[in-house]
Amino acid sequence: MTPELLIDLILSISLLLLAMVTLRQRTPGDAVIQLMIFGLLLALSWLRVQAPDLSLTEAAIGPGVTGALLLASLRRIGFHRPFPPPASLPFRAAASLGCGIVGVVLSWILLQSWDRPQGLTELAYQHLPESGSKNPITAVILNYRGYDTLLEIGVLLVAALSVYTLAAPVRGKAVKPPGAIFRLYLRMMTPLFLLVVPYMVWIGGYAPGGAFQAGALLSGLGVLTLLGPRPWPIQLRRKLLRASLALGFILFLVVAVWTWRYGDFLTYPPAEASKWILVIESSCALSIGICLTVMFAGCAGWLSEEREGFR
Amino acid sequence: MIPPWLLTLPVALPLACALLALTLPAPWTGRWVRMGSLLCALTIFPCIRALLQHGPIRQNPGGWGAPLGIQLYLDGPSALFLIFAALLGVGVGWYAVAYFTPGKAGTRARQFLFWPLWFVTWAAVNSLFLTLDLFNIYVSMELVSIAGVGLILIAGSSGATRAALQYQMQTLVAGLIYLLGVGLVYNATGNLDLHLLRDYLEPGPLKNAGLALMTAGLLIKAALFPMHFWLPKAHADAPAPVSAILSGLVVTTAFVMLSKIWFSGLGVLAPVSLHLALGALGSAGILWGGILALQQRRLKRILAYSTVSQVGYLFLVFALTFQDTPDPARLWSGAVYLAISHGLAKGAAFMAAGVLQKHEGTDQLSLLRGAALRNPGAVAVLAVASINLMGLPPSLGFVGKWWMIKSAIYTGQGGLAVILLLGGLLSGAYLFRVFEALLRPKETESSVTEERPAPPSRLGMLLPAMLLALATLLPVLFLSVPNRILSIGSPVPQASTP
Amino acid sequence: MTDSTVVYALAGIWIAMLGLRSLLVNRDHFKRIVAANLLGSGVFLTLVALAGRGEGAADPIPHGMILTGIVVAVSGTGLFLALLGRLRELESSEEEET
Repeated sequence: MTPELLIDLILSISLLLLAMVTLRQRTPGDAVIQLMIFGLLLALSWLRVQAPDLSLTEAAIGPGVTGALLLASLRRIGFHRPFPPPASLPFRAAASLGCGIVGVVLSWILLQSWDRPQGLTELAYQHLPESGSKNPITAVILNYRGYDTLLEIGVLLVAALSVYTLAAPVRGKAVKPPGAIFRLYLRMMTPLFLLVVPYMVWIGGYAPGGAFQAGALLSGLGVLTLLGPRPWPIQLRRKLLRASLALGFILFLVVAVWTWRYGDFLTYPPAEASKWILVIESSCALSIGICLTVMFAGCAGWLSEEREGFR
Repeated sequence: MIPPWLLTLPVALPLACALLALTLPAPWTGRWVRMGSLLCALTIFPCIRALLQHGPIRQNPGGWGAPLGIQLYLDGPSALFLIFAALLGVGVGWYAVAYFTPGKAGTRARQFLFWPLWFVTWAAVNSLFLTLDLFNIYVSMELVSIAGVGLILIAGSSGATRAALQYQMQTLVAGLIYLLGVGLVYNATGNLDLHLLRDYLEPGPLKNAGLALMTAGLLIKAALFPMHFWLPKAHADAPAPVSAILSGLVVTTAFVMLSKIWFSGLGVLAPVSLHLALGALGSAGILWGGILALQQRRLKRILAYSTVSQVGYLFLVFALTFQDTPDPARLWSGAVYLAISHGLAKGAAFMAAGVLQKHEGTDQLSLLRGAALRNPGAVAVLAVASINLMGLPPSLGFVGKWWMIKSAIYTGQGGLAVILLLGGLLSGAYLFRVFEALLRPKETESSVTEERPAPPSRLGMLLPAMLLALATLLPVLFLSVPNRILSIGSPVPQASTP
Repeated sequence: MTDSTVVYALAGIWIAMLGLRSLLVNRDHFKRIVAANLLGSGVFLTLVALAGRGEGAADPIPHGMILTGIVVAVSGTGLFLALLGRLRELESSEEEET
């Protein structure tokens, strides 16, 4: 047994155990905390399979954003309210049997076909110099398959808009005014965030990083500000908010249409590709951050229905 | 000369309209939405013209082409589906302008969100019809689903919220299962493009498992029995234009995607048992939806259960193709016509139900007695749509069902033919119940005539509804036109005899 | 030779199956969203491990797909949780009325 195999075995078995532990928790609060630990370990294990970009994203989104969303909604659902009992025993046994069979079949298939990798690695690296990015993953999501990413930004925007349809007619319970320590923390963290987020966007062109990681970080700042003394106005009625929610999508679409003159939708000439990618990434990072912040506010029940119409 | 970006137009323009609707400071209602939806619909004409002149069109957004990039492909079937989406898009858009009259302040914010969500749905559906890329299907499908959840929520009631919650969970899980399937297929072949995958059709465990997982994910998305529980609640509680989009367009897309994946080649990997399982689920859906529709007391509930039943019909096509049918092209065209005609007819029926609901204040059948005298227009639309839903001639639905029954008999699957006929009888029964109530005169002038806010003008709502309903009847008169479009680059081999 | 990262793919499959089972047997919405997140993590882990097999650099195409999948999953989770919270409010206000 090589040391690598030992590490991989330990990591993957702990992941499996943590997943089980998460599902065995009796209250929502405990389940969320276990899920966040699971997310951290998952991010760690992705470093072992040569996916540093994804590891960074998972660390920011798994325990970070998803954890924050889950915790925020617990405020309305109840931290310690125990889960109701699951379905009857025969049904549970049938479900276990079904999932077990699927699991065995899939595991067998994976072991069978593990030695025959197929993929586009070579092609992706071969075109990397023309793609305007030195990071192959940025090249995939913003150049080779930019059309997918355009629609994906749309998914995020539409999810944030859908959250607005849930705004309650009355404002949710007032948030406790922040204490002095929190205010100091916010004052110290804000410049740090404002420094790290653009760096994250820029570094995405060369090394692990990019719009999603930066956006997730930005949403961290957004949530802190919402908790702070001067919460940031997130009513849909505000034109500026609507514009910044959609900014990433708008610029992405404008660039896509603008590049029609070079040929197809989203076809950048190699010399200008890095410029266009940076424009898209920075605007998307802003919009991703704001969309995620809005979702957090929606989960926490801080969105209220507007009294006046739209001007 | 076809511009190389032509096929991105049906996606880019509705997206631009959605963003304008979201960000423009002026209220983007009335005339502007009408203009925008008309423009979005008109963009498909250059695409169709290019198709008729040059045959199937293949384009590459990003300029890389498969396998590295994404391919868009316009052939006959996708052109028909684009026309279908355009008809429904314009119809719903014009209808909704009249439907969403300024109401209470609380509902205004939600109504405002209808426009961007609806335009995004339209764009994503067009993208689905055009794409050849398995992963692009995933992203577009998620866009359709999440926008669908938002659209259901415009109703704001707790019933709609509960239905949306169920839908959101199912669609999230379905997406993940589909994604795992795509990942396995990619790892087996190094390819995501449906046409390039045709070079990798020898069976392999990874590929077979991938196809099975993708199929499972899409079945959940299509709300095929027994995954349909959220559908009747969601479709019946949503505002009428939303019901029309969801029941008419969104439910259809999951079927269209599954048939695209199967008929473009991957279907040969599916074992016979999978074909039969789809047929069995479809049959169960036809009967279950029909029987439950018979028991409902509300018009919109009846229409929503009818959707459960009609979705079942579509999936029978998979059961009918595993044996050599004498005329696979006919069977395939039958399924396409059935999908399109059901979408248009169901959209029209929900729009008519919305008019009745606004004017009568309810959609309870018992309270709608004699509505035919008070709202003859709405009832007429409902009648025309019902001809199609029952599969009676001269509707496009009849053509579709007829061709499916014929191939069921030819392939020796008489059982499926019986189920098809039984489903038709059931839909006849539940729709006759509706008309029995609407046409029967009111016995006494009850106290229902209380003060209601003045209902909006009917004409603005009825005209688009009538247009959609008639669109299911007119093509039958010159069926050679859709037949000709459908045969361009059709994935199913054409029969030698006409 | 099968390299050692295959264990991650297997772990991913089984995490996904644990999540799926929990989704099937539980009716509590919050528990189900936790299970759905585990299902997603399992799927992503399997696909990442598949992309990283073999010699040399990992395949960036599945990485891009997974990145997109993560963002879609977090959007869906956020919307679901907002829905759940709103539903609880609506239900409790209905109870007060009756």
